[in-house]
Amino acid sequence: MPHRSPDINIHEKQLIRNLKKGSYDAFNNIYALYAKRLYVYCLKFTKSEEDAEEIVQDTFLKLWRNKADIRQEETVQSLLFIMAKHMLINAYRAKVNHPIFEEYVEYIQPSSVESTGYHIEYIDFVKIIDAAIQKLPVTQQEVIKMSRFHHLANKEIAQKLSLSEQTVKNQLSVGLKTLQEYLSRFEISLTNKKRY
Amino acid sequence: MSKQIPIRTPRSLKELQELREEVNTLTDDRIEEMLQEAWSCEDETSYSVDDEIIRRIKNNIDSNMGQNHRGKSLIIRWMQIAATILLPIFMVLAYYFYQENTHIFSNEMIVATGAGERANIILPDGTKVGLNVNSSLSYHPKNYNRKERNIQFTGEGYFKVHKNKEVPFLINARNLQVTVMGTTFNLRVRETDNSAELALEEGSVKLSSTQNSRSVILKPGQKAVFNQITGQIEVVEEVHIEHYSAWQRGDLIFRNAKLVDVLKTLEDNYDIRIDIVNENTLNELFTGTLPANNLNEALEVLERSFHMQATLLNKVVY
Repeated sequence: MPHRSPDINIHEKQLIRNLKKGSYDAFNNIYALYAKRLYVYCLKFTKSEEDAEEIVQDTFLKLWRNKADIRQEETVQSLLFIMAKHMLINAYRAKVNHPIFEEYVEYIQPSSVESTGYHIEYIDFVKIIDAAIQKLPVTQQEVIKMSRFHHLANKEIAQKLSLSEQTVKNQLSVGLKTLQEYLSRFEISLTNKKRY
Repeated sequence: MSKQIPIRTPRSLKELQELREEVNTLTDDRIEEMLQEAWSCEDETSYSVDDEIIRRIKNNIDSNMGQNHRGKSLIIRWMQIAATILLPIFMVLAYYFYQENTHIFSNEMIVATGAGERANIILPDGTKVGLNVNSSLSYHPKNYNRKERNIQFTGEGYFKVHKNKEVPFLINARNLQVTVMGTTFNLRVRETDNSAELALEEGSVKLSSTQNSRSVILKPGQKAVFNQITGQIEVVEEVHIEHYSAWQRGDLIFRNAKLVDVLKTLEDNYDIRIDIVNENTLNELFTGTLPANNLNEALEVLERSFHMQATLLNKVVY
């Protein structure tokens, strides 16, 4: 636990007291002190910057809306955590289970990283993949998502989208090729490995 | 002993799989503990952030704070007022019609499906039940929803029980009883099976044996397997709990299922008989999804997977 100076504690207790009374000024102060820290923290558990921003926003909104009921004994740090708790848990679970996370794990494997040894952060990885997929025609998007991210077999995809299996194979092939070309600019390549 | 939260990205797909299993079995409380641990160590200087982002978030917060008296929420206020006026009227009408229609069924209501048949029921309290093939549900309309909501059940059904803490929902099935407050789950209690299975998607459910004092309370994502012979109840954590109700959505999902079981499911589902010429293949395993409403497709998939031929003759498949 990082050491906290007593001055900080007194200052924050005052802020909480004022916030409880409805002080918008105190709220702003608390924001100035903790927003950045909360945002950085959220980035670790979300799969995008937008998600992290949303959590920070909703947390502080919640703090403001519940200001009358917050307990004086709490620290600002713990108050913020209480407000953010559920959103964080959900974000973490979603991140761990998200199909794109698998692609990322493959991407950062030592064997697949280019000679520079540099690789991009997960959050940026997601952005790039998302942007790239959005550029594709709708059917190709659907097929790629189902195949690569939900691990459906071509047969299952064909059935779900009411297409012939050959069409699915074609769409997949064309779509992936376009995707690969786009992604290669970022030195990313989608995996071709068979799944467990 | 509290474990460190795995913030570090897994280094391999195997690690990721392990991480997922671990996280998916952890309760929210445990994850909360670990998240709190990480938060208390959060150091401001570890990362550089664009101030613009922090400013933008604050703007959003500010504009959201004063929203209570704007135009958008006026419409919502109007709708709420309208709802409070109209709702009682609808309720009275609905009650009137309900009374009119149910005085005919004074004793017992039975809904049953045969092979190849499915049905959807809405019980008087709003509980929705999807009945799979060869199933039957019965209840007494007069007593239902007074002190208890009691039904008799056999077969397989997908239950969306209307939430009511005061009036428990009770399913009486072969050798077991299920007590429910308000949940969504799939229950399979077939006369022909040696075990009954309840797969819980949402809410909370108690499953108890009527032959002994054993009972379990399930949480979402858990499946209870009740052995009809020994009366034992086993609880299993399932990552894909929704697979058990896939039949409701038109899919039959199989994971490492013996071909003989797959064929049996197809027989029930389509009301056909399947005869297999090469008996050796019966114990082979099949993993995949078959459509519940397209027999030809289903057979096609199996043909490919097992290198067989299927011929359909008057509801009998060879």
